[in-house]
Amino acid sequence: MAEPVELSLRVNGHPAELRVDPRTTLADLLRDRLGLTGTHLGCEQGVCGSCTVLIDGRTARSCTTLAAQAGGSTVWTVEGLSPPAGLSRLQEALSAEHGLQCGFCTPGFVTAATELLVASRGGDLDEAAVRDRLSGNICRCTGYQGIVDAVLAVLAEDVATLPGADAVATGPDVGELVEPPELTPAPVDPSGPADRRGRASAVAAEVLAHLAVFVAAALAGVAAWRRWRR
Amino acid sequence: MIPAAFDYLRPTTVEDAVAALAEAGEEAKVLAGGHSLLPVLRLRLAAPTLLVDLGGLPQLRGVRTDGDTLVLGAMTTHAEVAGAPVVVDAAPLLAQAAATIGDRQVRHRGTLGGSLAHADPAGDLPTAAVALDAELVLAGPAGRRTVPAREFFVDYFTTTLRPDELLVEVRVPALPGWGSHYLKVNRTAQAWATVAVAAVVERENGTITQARVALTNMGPTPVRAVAVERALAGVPVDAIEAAAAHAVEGTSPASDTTASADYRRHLAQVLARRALTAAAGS
Repeated sequence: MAEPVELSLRVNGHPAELRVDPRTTLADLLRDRLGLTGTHLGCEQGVCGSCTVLIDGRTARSCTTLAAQAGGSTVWTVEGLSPPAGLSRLQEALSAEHGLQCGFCTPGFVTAATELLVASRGGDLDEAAVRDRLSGNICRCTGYQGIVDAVLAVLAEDVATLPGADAVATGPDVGELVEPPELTPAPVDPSGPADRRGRASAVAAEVLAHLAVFVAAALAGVAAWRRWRR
Repeated sequence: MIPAAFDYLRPTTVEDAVAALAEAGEEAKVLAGGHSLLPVLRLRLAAPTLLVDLGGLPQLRGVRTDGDTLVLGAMTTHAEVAGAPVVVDAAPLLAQAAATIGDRQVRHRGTLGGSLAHADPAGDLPTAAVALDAELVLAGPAGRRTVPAREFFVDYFTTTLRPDELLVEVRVPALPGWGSHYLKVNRTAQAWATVAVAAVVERENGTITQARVALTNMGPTPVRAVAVERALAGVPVDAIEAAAAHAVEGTSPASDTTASADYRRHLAQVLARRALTAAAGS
């Protein structure tokens, strides 16, 4: 095993200090180490959105984020976006509008919808905008209409009272890039600009070698190709 | 679904990151947002022994202007590129392309530099960078060098980055008075582009003085549609339709389960016409 990583982060408002194997994903850390099993794992490849959490106030996929990447961050899960007892107004609306059936995707939708509602506070979102903002989450039961109706029902209400509303980042989020203190010019490249000794990105050699396998798998209906692309 | 074991490093200076890459050689991979790398690691299609996480380099995240040039840090996220007023003003094409990537969760984590260095031919930002004649600043052990976007992309997922180099900055020259449009067709909300077209047009009194057109997913790298550009130098706006028919020249689109090469060629022409029309009108 590789050298463990020392992690310090805040989860649902509580500090957590942990040592993890570097390959631990944030989703596995939340579920297996912290017992926060409300964060669900569906595709585990960054497609379905069931594992959506808030990292530093913004939705992110915890299955394609390493726990180590969340070091120093503030993480909120669906447990932190729910009242200690009973249901939040959003959760009630999801129930009332038949916004869930099996419920597997619901934690991801609650997290994404909480961000949507709080970040658009005072905004005027129509159904198309709600659908667009929830497009990172897949539901295979409801056909989405009930979920969209639930979000639209809560949109007009005082979303500031939703549990975890304070955790959602609402402000502008782009920092000013600081000019590097000193730019050392690199020596002129003797092989010219179109250097063919270039670096293949993480996947190139490996994936090209597996191309045939992928296409076969996709044809078999596994859609592995699409999932890899994600 | 659990990646092979690797060591993890989170340097706090660019120099430390470059030194770590230089020491580890081909065994190391750079981690930015991770949304392309992590799925590959989980499927064990790659098994690097070291990940160098750039998340500890806030100095690579943000946007500034340098005279007539917009400078974006490599770790600036897609959401930031799409939403930063300075980007929307100076390089609306880049902001528009970033806004079409994946979904909100992806745009919150995915980075400009990650997308460029990953060099997926279906990626949106490489095409925008090529259309805008952006320059990429690479930091290595010997210092920094600048590579034009058109020379950066070499092949499928392959760039001129050396194993010990990091992409640190993207410099986009301002094009005041130009119109631009990025138009993409994809199958589902989150899917990568089947084909997309980036169009940038300079107009004067109803005449197109010059145009730049780049294509997504029409070959192993972003493709500049030079035949279209040539056909659009000093012509009236209504020449766009005839010019867009040249969009397939010099392309080599793949056939896959999403679309055939023929369909991609069809899309390239249609999207070029629409994107150019929108760019010329904006």
